Amino acid sequence: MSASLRSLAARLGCALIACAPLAAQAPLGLRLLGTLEPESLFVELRAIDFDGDGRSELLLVGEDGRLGLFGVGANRSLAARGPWSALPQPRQSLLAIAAFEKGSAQQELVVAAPAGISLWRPREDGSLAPHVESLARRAKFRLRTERPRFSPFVLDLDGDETADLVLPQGWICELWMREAGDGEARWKRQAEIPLELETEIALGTELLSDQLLASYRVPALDIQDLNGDGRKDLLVASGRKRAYHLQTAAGEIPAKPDLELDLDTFRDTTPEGGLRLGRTLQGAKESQLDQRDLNGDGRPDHVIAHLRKIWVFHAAERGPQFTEPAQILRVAEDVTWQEIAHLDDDRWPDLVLMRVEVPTAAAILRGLFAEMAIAVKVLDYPGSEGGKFATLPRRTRDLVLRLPPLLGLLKDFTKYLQRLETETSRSRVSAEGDLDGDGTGDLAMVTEDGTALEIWLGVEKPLPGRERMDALFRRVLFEESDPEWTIERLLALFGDFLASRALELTKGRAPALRYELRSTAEFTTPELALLPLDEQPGAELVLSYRKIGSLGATVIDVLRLGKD
Amino acid sequence: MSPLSTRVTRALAAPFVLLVLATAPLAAQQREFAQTTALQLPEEQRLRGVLTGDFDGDGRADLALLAVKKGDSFVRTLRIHLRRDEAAPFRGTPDQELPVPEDAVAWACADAHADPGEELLLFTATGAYALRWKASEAERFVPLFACEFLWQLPQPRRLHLWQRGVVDLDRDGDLDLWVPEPDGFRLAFQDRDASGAHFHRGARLDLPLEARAVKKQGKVRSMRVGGRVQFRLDSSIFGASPLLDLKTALPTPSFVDFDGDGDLDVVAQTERHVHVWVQEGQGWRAREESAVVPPTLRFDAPVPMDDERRTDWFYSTRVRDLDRDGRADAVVIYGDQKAEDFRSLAQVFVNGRGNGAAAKTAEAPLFGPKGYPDQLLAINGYLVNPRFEDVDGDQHDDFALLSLRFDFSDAMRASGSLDVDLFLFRGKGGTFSKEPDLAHRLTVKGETMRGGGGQMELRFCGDLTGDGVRELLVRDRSEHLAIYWVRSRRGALEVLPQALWEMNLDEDAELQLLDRTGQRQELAILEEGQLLHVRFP
Repeated sequence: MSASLRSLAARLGCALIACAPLAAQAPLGLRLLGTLEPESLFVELRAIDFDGDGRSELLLVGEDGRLGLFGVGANRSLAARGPWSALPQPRQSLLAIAAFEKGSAQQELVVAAPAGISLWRPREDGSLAPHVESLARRAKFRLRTERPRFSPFVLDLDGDETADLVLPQGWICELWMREAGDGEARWKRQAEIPLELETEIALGTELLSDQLLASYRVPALDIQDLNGDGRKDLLVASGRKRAYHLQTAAGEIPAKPDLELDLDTFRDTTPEGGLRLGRTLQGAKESQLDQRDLNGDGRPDHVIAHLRKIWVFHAAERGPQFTEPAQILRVAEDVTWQEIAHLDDDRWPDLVLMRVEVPTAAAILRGLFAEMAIAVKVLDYPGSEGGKFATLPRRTRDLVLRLPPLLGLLKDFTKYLQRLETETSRSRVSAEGDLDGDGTGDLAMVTEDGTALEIWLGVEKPLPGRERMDALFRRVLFEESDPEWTIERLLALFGDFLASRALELTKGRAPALRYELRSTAEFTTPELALLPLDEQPGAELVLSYRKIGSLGATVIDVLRLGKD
Repeated sequence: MSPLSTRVTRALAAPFVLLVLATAPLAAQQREFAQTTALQLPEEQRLRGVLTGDFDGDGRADLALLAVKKGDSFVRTLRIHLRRDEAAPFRGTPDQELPVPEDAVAWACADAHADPGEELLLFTATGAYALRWKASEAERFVPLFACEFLWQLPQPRRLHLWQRGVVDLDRDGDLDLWVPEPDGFRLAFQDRDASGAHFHRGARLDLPLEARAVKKQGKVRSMRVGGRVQFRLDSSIFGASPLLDLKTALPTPSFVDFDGDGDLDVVAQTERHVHVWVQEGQGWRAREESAVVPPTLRFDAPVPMDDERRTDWFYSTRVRDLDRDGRADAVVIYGDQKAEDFRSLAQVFVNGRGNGAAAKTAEAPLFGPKGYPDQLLAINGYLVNPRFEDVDGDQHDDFALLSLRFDFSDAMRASGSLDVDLFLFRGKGGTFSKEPDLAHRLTVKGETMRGGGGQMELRFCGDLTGDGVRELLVRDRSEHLAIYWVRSRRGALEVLPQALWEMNLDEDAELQLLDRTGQRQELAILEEGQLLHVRFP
């Protein structure tokens, strides 16, 4: 071979070697594994792993109670596992997916209905049927759900790795705990817990333009370790009372609370002034409770505030206590609002007080036509190692809230609503999971305009919600250089907050890939889920759309990440 | 007494006597105009509602008070006070006290049982019941019919008032019932025979498709409820996972005679359309319980309730028989977006009259083929609380409204006060005067408006003087209530400056007007621990 040929060969060889990694790095894309268009309306879907093999199937539940199971087969396409079956009482059904046996990853479909709580699994033909008709004879769900609904009512309350039940029954919740023992599983009704529902009721008027409205929102139970013993306890709020149920060493949550707090026993004797024009806006007439670990002992402490007085209670070894205050603060002037937040870089939460000056009547009336400035003073009382706050403020800041002419605000209210809508769209529909099977978290997010899906591979864990709120307070109250706030600036801040979680996850990186969604004129923004449906590493991306103008027709696309 | 002193005394006495005689009728009038009876609750109870009805069948309106145990918001009690022909019409001690079942969600009053008089009705998540207040516990609750009542959970400290569910659907003289269910409006018909009163569960009026269809929605949800605009943020933006989140909204139906055939039809509005369920032939009573009745007619809404209108403070639609021809007419009020200042427009549509080409079409009897109104009124100022009621006693609805006119000079007043104008446009033949026939101004201090002015009242109440014209009820401060005489003089209406009656009340007291057909209106003032019943003999 001549020298020139050898040189050419060498250069070619180098070129080939250089190209090889590029060939191996073929661009990633999302491939459609299949589309489902079930007949049932308002279909909800969940992943369920009946076998406990780490591979899930797609469970579809329709408005009419029909149940269908789908999975990704050996040919890498989506197919039904068997015929559809049906729930007997679809208008009164609460659903959950949980593993019931200790140490087992096998999941069950749990159905709570007036007939009782049943467990469903696939039969030989792939259709779903109850294999346990009633977990507990007296556990019967009584509410009307209008269609089957998923709810987090199955959870391990006592940390024994078996499923317990939290059954909402309107204004109370029944706790059904699994009894310890190796024999047949039994559940015992441990307690009835009062619930604080958020309700909105409208009975209509003579106006056709009004609506009749029935809205009931049952919050999840507040379950947390209240006494630092590593066991989950239960905190129940009911009106002005708080009840603390501490889990025993035997793993029982007592029906009768270990401690009850009546917030109305903590009252400041300062006369209540309410809304007085030209004076500081007095805060809530009723005492407010906040909870935070102030002294780093791993137990949540409590701060109760009413008007100008603040009580600080450190948790004892046995748990919360409200008889020996660690500190009582009394401020000289009215306080509009107080909050416990981390405002500096040390470990100790700080106390923030805010005073809002209510304009005079004349100023308010002038404010109908001209811009109005509302003065807000913020004070920071630093926390310390002992879990107490300084008695003098470390710093104060004067902020100003500038409102546009109120009449203009009323007249152009739609404009502000549209701006709010724009900012809320920055809270993007998203799903997290391991899409590419590399063991790290990935993120799928719908764009703000709802037209496309963006994917980030390898994302960071975000800050917990409370820490993000702390960061927001710190920034807004003390670190923003401009102390003047307008409605527009506040709306933008709100949008920033909603977008902050995504920003933390992605660290501002551009997405790794983009996928065009179905037309926004025909379909709603899809719900996303990352679910492992086949034996390949990595989850599948499941998009669930509803057809606009239909009575609830659902279209489900299942996508897989792969090289194009 | 000496003759001189006698003469002097007589001379002094005469004008004094005349003065006494002159003031006697006024004093007597003040004494008689209103009589107030206080019904106090026991210390441990709080008053939360009142209904009026003839519970003993003696022709007199009795009272039922809803009391709630202090500290336990689900322990509710009904206290029945029968009216008597005595100086004080009600006794302090109730004639009967009954516990309210825990699952009761709403109440109403109607003659629904063979017992003399009217019964209290209770609604639960699954049915309606008549409460026989004199019966033993075993026989007290009579099931009327089963249903899926839209509001399935009782609310603490209250019973929802569902009196608008009581209508004579088939115009046979017996009151029937309707209830909203998640999928539509359920009807129930009352029959009476020798064996008593019976209800049978009837057909369901199905919701229009438009009400059920999936919509593209943003994260800021707006709704019109209670005559106001409400906003909420979609909770998904906060990542919350509740145990259960149930929300059902239905259009509000109006039961009116749409086609003038003497029976009731139903009208409801969705975003873009007005729907009518016309009761025809043998009527809905003849339909089976399992029947689902779709709307019969659909018209384009002349002012659709789109996104802009849903957040329009002034937008409202109502149907009423304005011209008394037996057919429902319509009024649509909305904000004039083009005006620089606040201005509202009211479009009046008279059924069967039509406007423009091809008027009086059978296909579009209410709005006409192009949705042109029969009358367009422009109202300046910030419109509040428009009402349609017969104020002047001529059997035609008049149009009453409040208007807040924001004037810069008002803003500069040292007193910091605001003017609220009450305007009345008299109605005749379905349309209204172009200019107000009555204007009355109320000056409100700025401090009174704190808390949103929720306790303010400026509205027409019943005719309390017997001249056929309704009087004016004014609550210009939360702790002060007055009634003014509205008089018709030579065809013109005026509000006399001197109050006919006034009283001080608790600033948190709730005011309810008690209406009974054929009887003079009464007032119920609900304070925490007592009811003040005011009647105008």
